[in-house]
Amino acid sequence: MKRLAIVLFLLFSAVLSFAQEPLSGIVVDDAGKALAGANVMAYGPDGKVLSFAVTGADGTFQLKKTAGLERITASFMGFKTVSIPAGQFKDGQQIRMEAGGFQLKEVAVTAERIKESGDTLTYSVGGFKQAQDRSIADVIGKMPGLEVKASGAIEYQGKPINKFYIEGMDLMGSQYALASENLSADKVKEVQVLENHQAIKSLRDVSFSEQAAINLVLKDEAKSTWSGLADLGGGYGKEWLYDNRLMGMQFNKRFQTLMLYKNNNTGKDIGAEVVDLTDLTGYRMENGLLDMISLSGPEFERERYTFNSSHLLAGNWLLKTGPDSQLRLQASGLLDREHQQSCSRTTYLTVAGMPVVVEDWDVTGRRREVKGEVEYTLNSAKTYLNSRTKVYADWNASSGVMNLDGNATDLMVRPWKRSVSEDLSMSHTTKDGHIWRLFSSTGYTWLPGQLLTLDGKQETLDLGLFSTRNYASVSHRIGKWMFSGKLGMDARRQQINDHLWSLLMPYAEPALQREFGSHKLDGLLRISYQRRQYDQNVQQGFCFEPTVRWNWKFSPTSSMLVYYRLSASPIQGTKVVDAPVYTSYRSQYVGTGIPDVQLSHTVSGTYSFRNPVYGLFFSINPVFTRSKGNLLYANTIDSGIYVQQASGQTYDANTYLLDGRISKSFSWCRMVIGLSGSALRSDYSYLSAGKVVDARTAGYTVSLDYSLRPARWMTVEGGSLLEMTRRSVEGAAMAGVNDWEHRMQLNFLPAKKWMISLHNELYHSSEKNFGVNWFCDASVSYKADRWELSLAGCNLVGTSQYERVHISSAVQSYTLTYLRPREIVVRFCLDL
Amino acid sequence: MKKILVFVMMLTALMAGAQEKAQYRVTYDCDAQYGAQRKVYRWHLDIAQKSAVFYSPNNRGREKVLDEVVNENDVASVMVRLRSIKNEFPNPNPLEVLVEAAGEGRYTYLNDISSNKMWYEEKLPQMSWEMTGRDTIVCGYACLQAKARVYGRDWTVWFAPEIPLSYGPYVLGGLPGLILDAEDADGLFHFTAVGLEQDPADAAVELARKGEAVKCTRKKYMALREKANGQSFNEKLRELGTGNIKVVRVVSEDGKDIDLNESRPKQNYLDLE
Repeated sequence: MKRLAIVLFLLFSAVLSFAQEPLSGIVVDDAGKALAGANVMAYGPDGKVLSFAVTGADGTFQLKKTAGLERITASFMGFKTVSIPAGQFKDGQQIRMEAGGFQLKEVAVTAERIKESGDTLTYSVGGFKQAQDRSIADVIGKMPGLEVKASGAIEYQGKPINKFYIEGMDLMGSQYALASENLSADKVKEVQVLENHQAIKSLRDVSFSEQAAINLVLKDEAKSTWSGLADLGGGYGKEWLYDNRLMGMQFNKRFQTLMLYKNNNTGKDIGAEVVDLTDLTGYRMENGLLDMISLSGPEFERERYTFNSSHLLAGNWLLKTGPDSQLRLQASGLLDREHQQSCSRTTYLTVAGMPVVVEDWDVTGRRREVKGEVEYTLNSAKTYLNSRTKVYADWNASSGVMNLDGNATDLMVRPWKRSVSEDLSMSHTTKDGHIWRLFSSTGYTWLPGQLLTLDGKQETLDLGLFSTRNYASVSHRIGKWMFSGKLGMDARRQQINDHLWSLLMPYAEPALQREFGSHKLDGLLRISYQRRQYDQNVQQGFCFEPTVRWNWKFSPTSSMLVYYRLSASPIQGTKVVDAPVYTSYRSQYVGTGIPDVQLSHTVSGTYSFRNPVYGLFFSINPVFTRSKGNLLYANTIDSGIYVQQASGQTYDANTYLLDGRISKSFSWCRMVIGLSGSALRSDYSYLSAGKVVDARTAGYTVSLDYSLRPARWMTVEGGSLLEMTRRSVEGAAMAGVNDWEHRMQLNFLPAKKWMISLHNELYHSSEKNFGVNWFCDASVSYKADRWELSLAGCNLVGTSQYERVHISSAVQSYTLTYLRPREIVVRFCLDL
Repeated sequence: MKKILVFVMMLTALMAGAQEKAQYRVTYDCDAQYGAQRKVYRWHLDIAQKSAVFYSPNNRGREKVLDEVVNENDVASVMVRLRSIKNEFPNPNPLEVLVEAAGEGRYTYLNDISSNKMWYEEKLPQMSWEMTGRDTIVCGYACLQAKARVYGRDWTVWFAPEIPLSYGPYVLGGLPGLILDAEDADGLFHFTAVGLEQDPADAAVELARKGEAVKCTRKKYMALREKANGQSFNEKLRELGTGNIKVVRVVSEDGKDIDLNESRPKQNYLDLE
């Protein structure tokens, strides 16, 4: 049997080798010495590789002979490649290779621009920083997957971050823009993104978070030592200009601080740096019915049309009181004076006859705000305790004159606000694996507002809004199941002048969580009893609010989340109030007086993809909301006063939102490109002359942003944005507007330490009579190791006005905004 | 004695002569899932005239620092240094492969099993590359696609005929061009070239610390690896020979208790068989 097999095998091999007729040869160097390891390739038509071989120790090779052979090439490191046409190649031929330098096209190693380690992505600041970047926020904005919004909020894969750490410590709390906008990128080595970050250590494998946190890893020289910045800026436009900053900071293992004083009258909004950006679970100051007079400005940089005089003093201190505990203190004060001038023509689309109101504004807003926060945190492996006390007070006021349809009217509004709150959160894991949690969030916001109305009366709007949310819960894991039970009590009390609205809501909330493979499923059902009262009118009943969440990480690079929630939200007292209240000098609001509840279904999803090796990030977030019981308002204009009166009728509204972003970094020219898009559609109803009208608004945005360094002496950064607004009533399309925005910054580095920058912005719209608005700024700077001197010219073109049409669900408005003139500023920045 | 000294000197000279200096360095990033977590590992492939070595620069850097730290007397500074090591050298990997020129057809494999360094020498596996006819550009080089099964894993690679070097990441090679991208069919390992450098400074093509490793055969190595894969901490501790010391508690980096008897998740490897 064995013999037969051998004979058959030999026969078969012989037949096979006869059929293939391999081409053989030998590769030698110019001295005739055999070359081992040389590559021999047989090419067919169109450069297709038919077969290949690597020469053996004796330099010989055998190539499979295939039909269509056109040429044979031999290549080897350090030798010139030899190419022989098929017709000239003879079996057994010697291929002689001539020594010749093989020069590798080098590809610079892109430092590990993004490193991945489990749930942590580490972005190298050096890998993304461009010559023009100053603050760490400038660099974060260029990191694929991350985005810095106009408010200073940082988003990762379309979701806001939940913590901003510096060297692993939470110095900034929720006001992190103060650090991200002011901390020099030169002091930061790496930006880490901690995906699915659960800040409470003891809940890390228990409670799942969809949000990421950011941690700044500082360079060694920025640690354990005092450092600072001093910027001095002065210039001239229509008036003398100033722009100064003084900052001191220290980042130790036991102590961190960042203190800052800033002022300017160049239009920069520094108040935004002390706005809460992350705090979603704690007490949030409530809004009243009055606002500062804010003239709707164009969509471009506030700096172009804001005439301000701002001062900000802020301090943050963090002291490690133990290995797992810390005490944090934060305080800030803001003084801001803003002069606004604008002309507007508003068409009230929901008022019968669509009246048009023409207003000429000349308003000055003064903001005087102080706030403070003390927080103690114990965050150990088993126990968590967090106590945060916050206080806030402002004396904000707007005053001025406005011409309404040709009649001069004095304006004044004081939407004062004071607030005090305490959030307490505790969690403990017992030896038998039970997780106990206690949470309490209580706060009071007092809004003693004053307002001058169109008929010359001074209105007082005194609001006292109290809210408390409390719960206790216990969770226990059995196998892959996690069971929890929660008992809670929420209460609210809102006093609006002499009217009182209150809510009492005890609830129970059983929840279940299950992990199987790469799936995480959790669901809960809140069963609450709501007692709502407005003056003598009482409504009560049980509410069932289910929430379901499914997270599936279906590949190492992709994950998705599907979420559903039914919520029963009581209509706030400020909306229920049935006595007429002025909300602006010529707007009046009248509610139903019925303390009702509003139901809404929300279905949302997220798909995110990320591949750090390729620097490719993608996320898409669809959201659908159906809200029931929305109030219909009868809108009238009576003696120039716009009255919005709840009719008692309601409607159901649907909102569809889809937004997504794809961003990619390339090693070529250190390029980063991001493409974002969003589509929003709202179906709603309104009352027009007593008749219910169905309407729809749709808004679409597409934007592209990029940054690259095409040459060592040049960097480019910019983007384009298209915003489309559409509206239809009863199925008939109404006017739509398309707004375009383009910006491009070109930076030239003509010599070491020198930089010349040209910044261009271009705005145009489908409204033909608006023309094209172009802004150009230029600057030249010299940056030494520790200081920088720059000369900047803003709005060199000298465009002084901007016109725009804006369409919302209720109004169509034309606005004319006055812009900042041509200005020159000299700045000296010193790294202390 | 003198004779011995002369002999030792000759031997050293010979050994030094055996090392080649790298002429090219390819840097790969590998998105890989060895354990429970997916991580990106950085690799270097240093290529000389007759051989090439594939290693993790972060592992070499880390081991060098650990050596320095061992000789430090100041405990506080040692602790500081150890803490920063993780950030400084992220995702180190002890694997190193030295491939002789394709004609020789042998390679030396060096890796850790638990904390033991092992090495073996083996003939390069047969790689029957099949051209798919597809092309792309990687790192600015026109590349062709080829597929082959290597040690039980199906690899799809992109190689650059423009660079006549028959090497690639791990033991992959034998193609008429340098492999710039390689991915296995299970999606567990994906190497991508991110840098190419000519004449890298101070780069000898050799295995680091081979002298500290124990020689074995591939068969033996695979058996030991299989035994260690998925071992619980208790089993590992027993192997370390903790003897009569009773280990009461082991905590992870974030302070969580680790069950000593719980078997650990199985690891994935570049080779399956």
